[in-house]
Amino acid sequence: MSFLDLFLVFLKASLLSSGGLAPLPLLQDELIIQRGALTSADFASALAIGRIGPGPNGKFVLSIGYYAGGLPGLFAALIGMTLPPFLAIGLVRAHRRLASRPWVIGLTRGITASSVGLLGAVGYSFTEPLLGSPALLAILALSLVVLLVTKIDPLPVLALGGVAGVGLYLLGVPVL
Amino acid sequence: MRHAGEIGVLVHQVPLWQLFWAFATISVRGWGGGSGTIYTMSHELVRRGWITSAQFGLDFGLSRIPPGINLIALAVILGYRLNGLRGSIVSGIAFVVPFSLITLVLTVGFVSVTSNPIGGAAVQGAVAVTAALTFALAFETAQSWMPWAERRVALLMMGYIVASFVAVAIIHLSVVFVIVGGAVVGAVLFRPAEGGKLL
Repeated sequence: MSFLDLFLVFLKASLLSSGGLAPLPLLQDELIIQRGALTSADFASALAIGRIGPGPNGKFVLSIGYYAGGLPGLFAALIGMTLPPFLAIGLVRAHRRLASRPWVIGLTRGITASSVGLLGAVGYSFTEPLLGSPALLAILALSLVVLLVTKIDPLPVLALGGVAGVGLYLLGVPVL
Repeated sequence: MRHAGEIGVLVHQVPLWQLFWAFATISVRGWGGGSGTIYTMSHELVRRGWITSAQFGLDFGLSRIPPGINLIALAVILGYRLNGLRGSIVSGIAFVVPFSLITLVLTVGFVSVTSNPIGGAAVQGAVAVTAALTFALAFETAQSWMPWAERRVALLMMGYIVASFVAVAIIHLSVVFVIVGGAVVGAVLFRPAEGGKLL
């Protein structure tokens, strides 16, 4: 596939999805089924990388771009992934223009209320697979208390969580 | 100068190099998937005294509306709050480039961490912390921005928080539907009382 073709595929996937793994089905259809640009195994590897590094979950499209077209493929994915979120500038401008009106204040409160619920839902989606492991639930509860009480930087807490997971595994405690 | 619609932007015209450095730092330090990065972004910007948790909560909600990766949109929105159009471009690019370079390195030299049992156990431990990060952020956002003095509105808002949680986590409704629904319900029911606190 040419650079332009790949760019258009990633731009379309980004424009037609919102966040996280949402572009996954579209990319799967376009790149594996319709164009045969990469294998299912490559696709799975790209997804796994998306769980390792820093940044949003949606960065897995970069790895898919690399598998599909090498370094140019990665850049095609990078540009396709980066452009649509800039539409947010228009949104924040419109919000700013209207924001002193009571109904917009109410609307703002409504958006923020839904954000809190959504954050809870995202947390729940991570918690659900852990429900079978009391040890992992204990790590979750302990780190929640530490984060809320100390307001500590999250990176060392994440690292300690990883170390605790390895410790439990070495002690023979099931971690799923 | 405080712009309309801002509920907690504490500093305007943040120098562009400071914005660049802050978002590049967030990009490199935001491990733990989207939730880890969201928490890191909130923590870093609040720690610097640029915005409040409430502002972060509002902009997080707005960032879910445009298409594409929400966290890039969030960096763009927060950059706009802190230094206008130039701020949004600098923040967006500073956020995207570092994690993209790290992903490139990981992809080129990929060794599957999750296929190794010890690597898999480390990932599971980190996932548990990631869940905690997300719950902590939800709690801090709600705590900092709820209009407690307006008891009726606060109760209704708590009801909507629970409803949106159930709608997405249990019923799997579209996220955009829940946010737009929140905006419509809020415009009607969450208005400040006459003479009440303006956000």
